[in-house]
Amino acid sequence: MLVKDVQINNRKETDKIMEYKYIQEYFAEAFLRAEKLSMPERIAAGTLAAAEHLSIDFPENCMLPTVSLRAPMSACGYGFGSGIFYSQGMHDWLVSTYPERREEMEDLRRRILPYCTHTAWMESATEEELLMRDTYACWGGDWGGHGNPDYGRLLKLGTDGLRTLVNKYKEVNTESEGFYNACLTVLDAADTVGRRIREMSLSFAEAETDGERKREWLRIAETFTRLPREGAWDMYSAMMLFWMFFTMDGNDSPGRMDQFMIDFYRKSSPAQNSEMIDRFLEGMHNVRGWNLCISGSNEKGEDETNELSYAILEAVRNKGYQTPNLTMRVNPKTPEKLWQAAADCLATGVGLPAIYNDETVCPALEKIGISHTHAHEYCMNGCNQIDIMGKSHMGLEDGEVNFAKALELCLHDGCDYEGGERRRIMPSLGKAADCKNFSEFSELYFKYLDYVTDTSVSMSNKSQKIYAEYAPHPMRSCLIEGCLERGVDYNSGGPLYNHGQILAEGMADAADSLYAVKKLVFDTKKYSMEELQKALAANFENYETLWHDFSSQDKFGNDIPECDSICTYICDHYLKYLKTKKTYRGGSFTGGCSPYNRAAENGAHTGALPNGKRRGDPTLADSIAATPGRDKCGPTASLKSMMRYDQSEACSGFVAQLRFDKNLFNTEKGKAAFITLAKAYFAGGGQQLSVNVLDRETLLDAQRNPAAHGDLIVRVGGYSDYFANLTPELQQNIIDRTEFSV
Amino acid sequence: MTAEIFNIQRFCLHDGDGIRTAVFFKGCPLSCLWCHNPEGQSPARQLMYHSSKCTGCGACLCAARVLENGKIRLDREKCTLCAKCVPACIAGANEICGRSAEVSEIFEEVLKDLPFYGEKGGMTLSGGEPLMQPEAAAQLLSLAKNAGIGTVIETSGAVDRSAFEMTLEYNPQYYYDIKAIDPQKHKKLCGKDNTQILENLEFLFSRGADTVLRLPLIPGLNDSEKELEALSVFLRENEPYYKRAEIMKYHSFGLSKAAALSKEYTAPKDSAKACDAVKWQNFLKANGAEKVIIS
Repeated sequence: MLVKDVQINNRKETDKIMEYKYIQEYFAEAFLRAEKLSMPERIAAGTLAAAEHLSIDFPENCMLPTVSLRAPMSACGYGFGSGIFYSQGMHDWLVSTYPERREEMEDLRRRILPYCTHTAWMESATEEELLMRDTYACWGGDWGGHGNPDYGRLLKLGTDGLRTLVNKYKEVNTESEGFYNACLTVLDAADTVGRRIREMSLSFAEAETDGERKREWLRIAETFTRLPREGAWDMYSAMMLFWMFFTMDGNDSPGRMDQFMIDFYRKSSPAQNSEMIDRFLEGMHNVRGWNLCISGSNEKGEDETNELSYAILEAVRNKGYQTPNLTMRVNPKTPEKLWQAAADCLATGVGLPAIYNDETVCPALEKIGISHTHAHEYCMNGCNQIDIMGKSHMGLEDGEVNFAKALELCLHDGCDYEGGERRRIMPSLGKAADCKNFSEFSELYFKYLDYVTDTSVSMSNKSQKIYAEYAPHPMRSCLIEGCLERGVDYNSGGPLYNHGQILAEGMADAADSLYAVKKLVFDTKKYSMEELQKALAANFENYETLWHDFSSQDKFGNDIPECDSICTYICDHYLKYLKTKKTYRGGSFTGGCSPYNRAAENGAHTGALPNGKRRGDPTLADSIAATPGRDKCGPTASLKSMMRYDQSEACSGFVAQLRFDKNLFNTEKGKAAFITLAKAYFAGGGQQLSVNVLDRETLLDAQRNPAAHGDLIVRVGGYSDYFANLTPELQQNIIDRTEFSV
Repeated sequence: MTAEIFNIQRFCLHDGDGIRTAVFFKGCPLSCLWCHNPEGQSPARQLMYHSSKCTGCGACLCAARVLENGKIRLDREKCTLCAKCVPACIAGANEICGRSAEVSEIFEEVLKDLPFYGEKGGMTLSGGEPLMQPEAAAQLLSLAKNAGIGTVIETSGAVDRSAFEMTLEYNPQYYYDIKAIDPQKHKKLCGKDNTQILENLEFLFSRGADTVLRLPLIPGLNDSEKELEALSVFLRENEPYYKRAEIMKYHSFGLSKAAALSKEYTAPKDSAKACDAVKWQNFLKANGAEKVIIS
């Protein structure tokens, strides 16, 4: 019973737990006990105490030591995205299972909650900020953010080498002793985990009857006689060491694996290489790891594609798993063979890889002060956020701004009609009906948009301060350049780059609405602003002619310069405005676009709009593209519209998606057309392209019979997911989105 | 100069290599039974009424229109093509097919996809029959040539020799249909025999024009063994002069468009009925026509 409930996979571990007479909150207790120490040291003390008890799993399909963030039977743990967290669900289960411990548990919860970042953030946010978050105008913070540790450094140095590095800087930056002590302690914690991996493997080997598996247990045990203290020496040891740290870090993103693993790959046999890539992808599938990056160009513009880039791409194609997100960086020198391999992979319908253009991304990064060389070391994290591998905390992501909602607020004087009734969300900054011309109206919109942006920035910066104070991350600090060198934690501005990213949602909806207002209220004066406001408040009920007039105006995404220019104008304003805002961590805010999976939620909470959107309709723009179904002139026109943005101002993913009919894509002509489209889009300044290969009939059928299509994968913005897993609204959105065929 | 056209379609992949923009000229000398663009046959503007989109609301009623069983019965004799029914229908059931467009305006549209043409793609003149308006076609070819855009002309060949003389100097690639070898059969299927078509083709061959032959395969209409034999002889004898011959698999996309024009459609209505292109290709190859591929 107990075993099943807590889902412990290793019987030996379970047996060990059963020996514990009492449940223990190893992390929390050690953290609280160390109250006299600095915060990084307290986190490290908790980590070390937990290291002896964290569950270590060896899933059948990959046999990689998979470390959990919290000991089994504990409610409290520590993670990069949440800082110190306390699971209320686990707490409830524990006190109901062990009623005699209730008082003790509740006391512990009372003492640890003030250190939980979420608690602190909720206390710091204002009522208005929370209202704006709950009504989907914007959000900011309350999340630590993705990061890409420098696993190359880890594989080269091992924990002993890292210790040497820590000690070297400890002598220089004497004022940061606590921070360095914390780093040393988490390295000890890693050694503890490594020792336990060896012990467990040995005991599993003893009990194993299958010869092959026994050999594998012994091989792991043997490898961990040297790991993690030494650096890796071949592909096998490199993958083991990487995996142990990757899972201890919370299964975030490996980054540029084809670059940091290539030396080990070249040293090892083809059999070992393909085995370890296979096991790695199985492991990533288990833990739903985030983003893996291949290829790219260096600071001299030389292409860095190597054998491992191809091997990873081929393995992803063969596996057909939707995680991790695979990102492929391209440049003018990307080999034709890699493009072909990418097209072959996409043809399977896996939705991977997403393709990023170095020629746009690197200049965008350089504009915010990232060096030319470091800009070429970018990789992706999360869905579609840009990071500098092993050198940055870019806040992936710090918040989100809903352009469509901001327009609703602008049209109704700071109020919305989400629930049908007028409700004040923010102060009035001026009345739409007072605007004499379109220029005044668009200026007014910017006031509202800026206010919403400021709110997101404010929420994010409060959160950043809380993470700096309550959630230092010594483990990442050991693997992100700048932290050890400066003696400053990862969450406190230690990394070389400390920018932030706030994403945009609903740009085309806002732009199409502004365009319709321009045409019908200001140019032709067919309707007054008051009439429009009444119609929007009534959700167009009894205003069918007005609705028809507004919704049939030209839309973004059809290669109509006059119409597209409004979208690029508001986007440009937003991106430049964000750059004037500073992050608490010590960089500037930058912008990008949300992955598509957020559109439905944001759309559902946005009221009627002048582009014809009705209240409750979850449809919002498909990232930087048109509102689904509004781009009617095919992929070239759609891409031309998107090429009008200045994408070199966007430092977070600027997602453009193409959906191809499977019958089309799976021909030589189809694949060649895709490559031509992609190259032309990138030559025209495009930043990113992702591709869904599917047929509409399949989707319609999948909507009717989800059971029969459990494996149908669609790309949802920055990530791919099983179609059957999506909400009905999101499914419908994907079906509605233009499917290009001939 | 203007041209009568009925569509400009971007991102075409199947009418020439690469990514192309196709300009559809209105008017055709032939009237093939299986025509997939029946709205391109008449040089005149035409009203298309898509009954499947019609909701029977009656907003479009006029002297030429009667509401009958929830759909419109159209008296085309009375229709003046005033086009008032087009905006009247919110469902988009009414459409005027065909318009006069300035060559410069057409070319502006073609230029929009310039970034996507690359070395292989470009402009395709299609129809209808683009060479029924040879001056406009030649002007477009000239503009494209100056802009470095590759061109393809899809032609039935059933036009005056001068149309080829006027276009050859711009070095377009000709996509040239061979619908039947036997003149009488051709007349039965397409409304006109093929004497002029084959003579023009010979002329193109003699001038070394870049030519791709297209072989529409219509089950039950032009796929008998006897016809295939004649076709293979023709293909074999002319092999040095054309680049390749593409078998075009039949589809009945023209059916609903014919209905919207109140036209009869007598080709097979079920395009799902297998047209065995592989069998065709094997037969033609076995008879010595080596350059046959399936499009």
